Amino acid sequence: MGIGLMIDNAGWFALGLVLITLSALTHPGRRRVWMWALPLAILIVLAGALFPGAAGDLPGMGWKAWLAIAALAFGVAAAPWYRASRDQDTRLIDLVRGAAIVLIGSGITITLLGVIGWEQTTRYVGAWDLRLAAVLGIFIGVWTGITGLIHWLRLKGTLRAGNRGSRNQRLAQWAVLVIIGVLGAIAVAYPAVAVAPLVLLIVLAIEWAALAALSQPHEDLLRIQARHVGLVGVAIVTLGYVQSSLLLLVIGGLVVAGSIHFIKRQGAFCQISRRTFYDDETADATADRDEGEPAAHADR
Amino acid sequence: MDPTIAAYVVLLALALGLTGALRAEREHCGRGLLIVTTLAGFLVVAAVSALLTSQSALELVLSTVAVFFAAQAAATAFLLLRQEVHAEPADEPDEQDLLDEADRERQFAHERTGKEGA
Repeated sequence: MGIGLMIDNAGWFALGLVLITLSALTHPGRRRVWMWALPLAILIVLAGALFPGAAGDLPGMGWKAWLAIAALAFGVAAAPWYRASRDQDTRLIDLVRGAAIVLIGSGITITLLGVIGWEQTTRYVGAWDLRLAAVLGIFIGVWTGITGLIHWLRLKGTLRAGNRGSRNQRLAQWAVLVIIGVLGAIAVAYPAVAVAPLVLLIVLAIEWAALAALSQPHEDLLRIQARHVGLVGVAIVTLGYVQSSLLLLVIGGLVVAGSIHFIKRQGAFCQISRRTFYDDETADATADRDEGEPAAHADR
Repeated sequence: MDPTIAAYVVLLALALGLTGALRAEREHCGRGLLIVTTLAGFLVVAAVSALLTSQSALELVLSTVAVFFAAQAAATAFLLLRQEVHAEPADEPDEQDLLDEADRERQFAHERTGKEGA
């Protein structure tokens, strides 16, 4: 578990940079160039973790470091850069779509890291806390990823939003959630027989998240995505615990705090606050289709 | 890692975020959300460290895919933040200073006329 130390060595500088940036960015009227400090902080930590490997200081890590750099480059290149034209005036739907893409990527990452964590910790029967973190990560990852995917498909017009379920349907959803919790507890307590409960947990979580995301009203999407950003923060905390990195613990706490702020106070966005929030944004995919107009064109 | 230390650190960070560092007036809450979404890009660090410590072929493949998606999510989040920051009405800080200055001048003038009137 030396990797946590490797992250934290560079992490002190990155954390200082992040804190200064937070106070600069939340103060209106400061120079906007401060936003570049956030990716810079991530790059500092990445360099701190990758450099010992790439420079050949740690045997057997060199090619892994280069593989990581290649995956990073491909991932950044795959981001939707064309959306970021600065003079085009954006609408809420663009923002929600971008956040949905973020949630899909984060959800897949958290799920995979949870699976890896599970794979590594089932060897030690006593490490129940690590297994709990892994199961929690898998659940959060599946929930977040599926929610992002359904939101994205809804905004594309591929999926129709369902009605808000009846009372019985909602009770059934709660029952499914309880079953998921029980399965997770079984998987954590009895790692020898955990494969079947874990697979069932993932399937149920997919179903549960998809049904919930389909029935969410259109004007609540952003709020729900903000909640999922908070969940991503929780997942970062569990990852920080598993990888024993104080930096990730702090970042996760900050992300949770920011999400709570947004949900409690329902802030506005400058890129869309020129007009009323939901005046013409309520045109969900369903409404568009009723008019016989493809949603993709109406959104632009 | 010691659970007690972890809990303390998380609580302190949460308290910091809730009280000071992320507080802004309501207009800027949306920006705060995008800032923390960009911060969630630190997920990529966890993915990279999982890749570096992977011990089997399965873990290697999974963590490589994880790094790819984490990098994509982080870049997208930063793009959203950039869009938001560029859409800020007070684009030029100097202009904002000028506006503040003008405001202050007007207030002084107002006070002066008020005094003269009295």
